[in-house]
Amino acid sequence: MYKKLVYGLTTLHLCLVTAVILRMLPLGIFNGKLEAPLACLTSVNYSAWRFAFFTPDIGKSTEIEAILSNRAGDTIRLSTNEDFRFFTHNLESENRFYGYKVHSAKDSMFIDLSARSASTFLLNEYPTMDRITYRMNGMIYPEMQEQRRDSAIIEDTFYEITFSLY
Amino acid sequence: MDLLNNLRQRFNDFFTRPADVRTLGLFRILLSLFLLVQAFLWLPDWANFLGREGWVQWELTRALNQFWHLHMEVLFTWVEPYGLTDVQFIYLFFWVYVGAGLGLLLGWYTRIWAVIAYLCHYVIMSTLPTFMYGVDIFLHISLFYMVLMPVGKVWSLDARQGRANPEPTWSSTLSIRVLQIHLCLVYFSAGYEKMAYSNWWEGNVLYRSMVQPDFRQFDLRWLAYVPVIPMVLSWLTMILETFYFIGMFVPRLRVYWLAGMIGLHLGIGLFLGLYLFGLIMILLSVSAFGVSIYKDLRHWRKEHRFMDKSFSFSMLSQKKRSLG
Repeated sequence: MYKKLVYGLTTLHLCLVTAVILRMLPLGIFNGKLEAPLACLTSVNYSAWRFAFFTPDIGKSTEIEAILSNRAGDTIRLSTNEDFRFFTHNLESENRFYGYKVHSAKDSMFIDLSARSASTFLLNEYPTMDRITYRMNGMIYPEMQEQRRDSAIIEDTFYEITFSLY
Repeated sequence: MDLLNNLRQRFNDFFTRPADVRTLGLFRILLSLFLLVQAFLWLPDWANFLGREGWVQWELTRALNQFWHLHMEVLFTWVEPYGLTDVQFIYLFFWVYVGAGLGLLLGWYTRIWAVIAYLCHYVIMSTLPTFMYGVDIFLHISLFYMVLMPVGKVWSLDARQGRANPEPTWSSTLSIRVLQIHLCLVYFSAGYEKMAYSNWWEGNVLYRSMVQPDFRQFDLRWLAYVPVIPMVLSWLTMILETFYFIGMFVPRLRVYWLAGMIGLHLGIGLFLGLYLFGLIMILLSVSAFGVSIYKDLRHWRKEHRFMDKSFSFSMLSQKKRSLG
C-alpha cells in the first residue's frame, strides 16, 4: 500500500513537472483557480516552475543609478552599470541584483516601494549625505550586426525619484 | 505485441532494477558542500540581504509573500521575547543553516538535518523573493529531494553507525530515476525553448549576454566581427541541452555528453560570471549520472587492458613463430 502510494505520488510529481515545463498545462481552463495551488507548490518544491535560461530578456537590462549629495556640495554617484561593489562583497551577491532589477522593472508598485527602501538603506550607509536621487534606466544592447555598424546602446530613464532630508 | 511487451519490460526495469545507491550519496555530499560554499560566500552580505533594514526591508518583502510563505520576520517574532535583536537573530539563523548543511554533509541523522536545511532555505526564499535566481531554485529542489530520498544510505555516519541500510531498495532506485528524469526535463525545456528564438540560432543571445554589463566578465565585443563563434557555441548549447535525455542514457555517449555539459557550465561561470550557477548545474549532472559514467570508464579501461593483453599475446606468438 505504502509502495503504491509513493509510486503514485512520484508519477503525479513527474507528470506535473513535465506538464509545466513543456507548457502543456492549460491554466486558463479552471478560470485561474489553478494558479494559487500551483504557486504554493512552486514555493515548496519548484515542480511547477518553468526554466528558460537566457531566453527572453537577454539584450535588455535595467540599471539602477543613485546620486547622493549634501548641502556642502559633495556628490557620490553609484551605478549598477559601472560596477556594483559599493553594496556587495563578491560577484555572487552582485549576481542577485539581476533578478531584483528585472522584478523591479516589471512591477510598478514594487518599483516605488523598493526605491524608498533602497534610498533609506543608502542614506544610512552614507550618513554625511542628505539627498538622494534614485533612477532606473532601461538599456538595449546592440546585436552583432548592429555592433558592426557601431550602433550605440539605447538608454532610457523610466523611473526617477528624489528624497531629501532637509 | 512483442515490441509492446519489450517496451513495458524495459520501462519496469528502468524503475525497479536496483540502481547504485552511491548516486544518492554523491548527490548528498556534493549538494551539501555546495550549500556550505554558497552560505559562506553570502555571509559578508547576509545582513544587507536578509536584515530588517536591508536593501529591501522586511516590511516590503513580507508584503510580497502569500500566506503559505514563511518570512524571516515571522520567525523573529517567535524569538523576540527571549531578548534577541534582529541582527543577532539573522546570524543565529545563518549558523543553524550552516549546521544543517554540515549535518547533511556528514550524513549524521541525515533526514533530520535535511528537513532543517530545507526549512531554512524555504525561509530564505520567502524572505528574498526578488533576489532569487537559478542557483537558489536548483538548491531548493535538491533540498526538497534530500528530505524525501534515502540520501544517507552510503558515505554517511548513518551508514557507518548502522542507522541506514546501504543496500539498494525500490525507493533508492526510484529516487535516482526521479532525479535523472527531472534533470532531463529541465534541460530539454531549456534547449527547445532556445530553439524557438531566431536570435539563439544566429548567436545573438550568446553574444549579447557576454557583452551586457549584468554578465560581462571580459571585453568580448570583437566577437561581433567573428559571428561564427557565438553561432556555433549557441548551436552546441542547444544540442547539448535538448538531447541531454538521450546523451546521458547512452553508455558510450554519456562520458562525452557529461564532458560537454561541464564545458558548457564552465563557460557560463567564466564568461558570464555566474560561477555558482555553473557549479550547481555541473554538480547536479555529476550527482545524477556520475556513478554510471565512472562505471563506464572502468569498464572501458578493463576492455582496453584486455585488448592490450590479447594484442601483446598475439604479437608474442607471432614473434615466436617467426623465430621458430
